[in-house]
Amino acid sequence: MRPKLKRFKITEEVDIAKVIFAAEDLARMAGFNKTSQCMVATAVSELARNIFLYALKGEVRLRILEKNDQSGIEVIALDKGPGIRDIARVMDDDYISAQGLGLGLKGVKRLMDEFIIDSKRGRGTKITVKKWC
Amino acid sequence: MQEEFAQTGVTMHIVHGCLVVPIQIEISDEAMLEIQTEILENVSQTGVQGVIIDLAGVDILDSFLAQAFLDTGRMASLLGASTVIVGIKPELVSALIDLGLEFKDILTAITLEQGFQKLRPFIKPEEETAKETSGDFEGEPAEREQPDDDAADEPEEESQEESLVEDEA
Repeated sequence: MRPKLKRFKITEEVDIAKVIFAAEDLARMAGFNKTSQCMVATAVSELARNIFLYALKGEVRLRILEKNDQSGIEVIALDKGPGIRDIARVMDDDYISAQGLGLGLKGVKRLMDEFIIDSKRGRGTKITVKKWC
Repeated sequence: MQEEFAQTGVTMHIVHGCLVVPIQIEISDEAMLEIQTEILENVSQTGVQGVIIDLAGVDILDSFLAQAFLDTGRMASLLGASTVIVGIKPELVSALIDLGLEFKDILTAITLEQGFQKLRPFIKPEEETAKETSGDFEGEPAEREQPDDDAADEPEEESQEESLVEDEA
C-alpha cells in the first residue's frame, strides 16, 4: 500500500500554520515521539516560511514512509521562486541571510535525517527531507 | 490599549513589578510583531523592570518566532527591562537547538514562579515599586520627612505636657 500524499498550497501566511499542524499530525500517526513530532513540525515551518518569504507561493507535500518495518515522514517543499544562488554558502554554518534568519535551511538539515536540495536560479527550489522514527 | 489586546488576543498583566505576557494562541507573523510592539509600549509606559514571556501555550517555535521573542527581550533591555522566557515545552527544546538559536543573552526558566525568581535581582523591592506607583507624588515625600521631625520633637512636648500636669497637680 502506497501511503497517501498530502499536498498543501502555500500562498498566504495562514497556509503555513495549516501545513505545520498537518505535519505534526502525520508525524504522530507515523509513530514519532513528541520531541520528533516537534522537530518535523519545526522543519516544515521553516520550509513553508521560506516559500512564503522568498518565492511568495509554492507547495509542501507530506507523506508517511514505510521501509523495512521502519516508518518515517517525507516532506517536499517546491516553489518556482528566485532559487538559491549559492547553496553551499547558504548551508555554511556562518551564513546569515539578509533577514537575519539564516533561511533556517541549516536548521532543517539538522532537524531531519535526510536532506536533498535542488535549486536553479530563476527556476525555483525543490527541497526533499526525510526523518525516520 | 484595549484595542491592541483585541487584535493580538494577548492580555498582559503587571504582577510583582513584572509585565507578564502569556502566549496562548497560535501566533501569525503579523500578530507577533504586534505583540512585540505592545510589550515595548507597555514597558516604556509603565517603567516595569521585568518582562516575563510565558510560552507554555506555544506548540511549535520556528526560527522566526523564536528569534522574534529573543529580539523582543533584547529591545526590552534597551528600555531598562530584563526579560525571562518561561514555559518552553520540553519537546521543543531539541528543535530549538537544531535551529541553532542562541538563548545565551536571555534568561529562561521552566515555570512562571522561577521566572519571577530569576528577575528578582533586577527589580526594585516590591514595596518601593508599590509606593511609587500608588500616586500622590507631591504629598508623600513631604509627609514622610515630617514624621521624623515630629518624632524628634514629640518626646519633649510630651514631657512638657506631663510636667505641666504634674505642676498643676
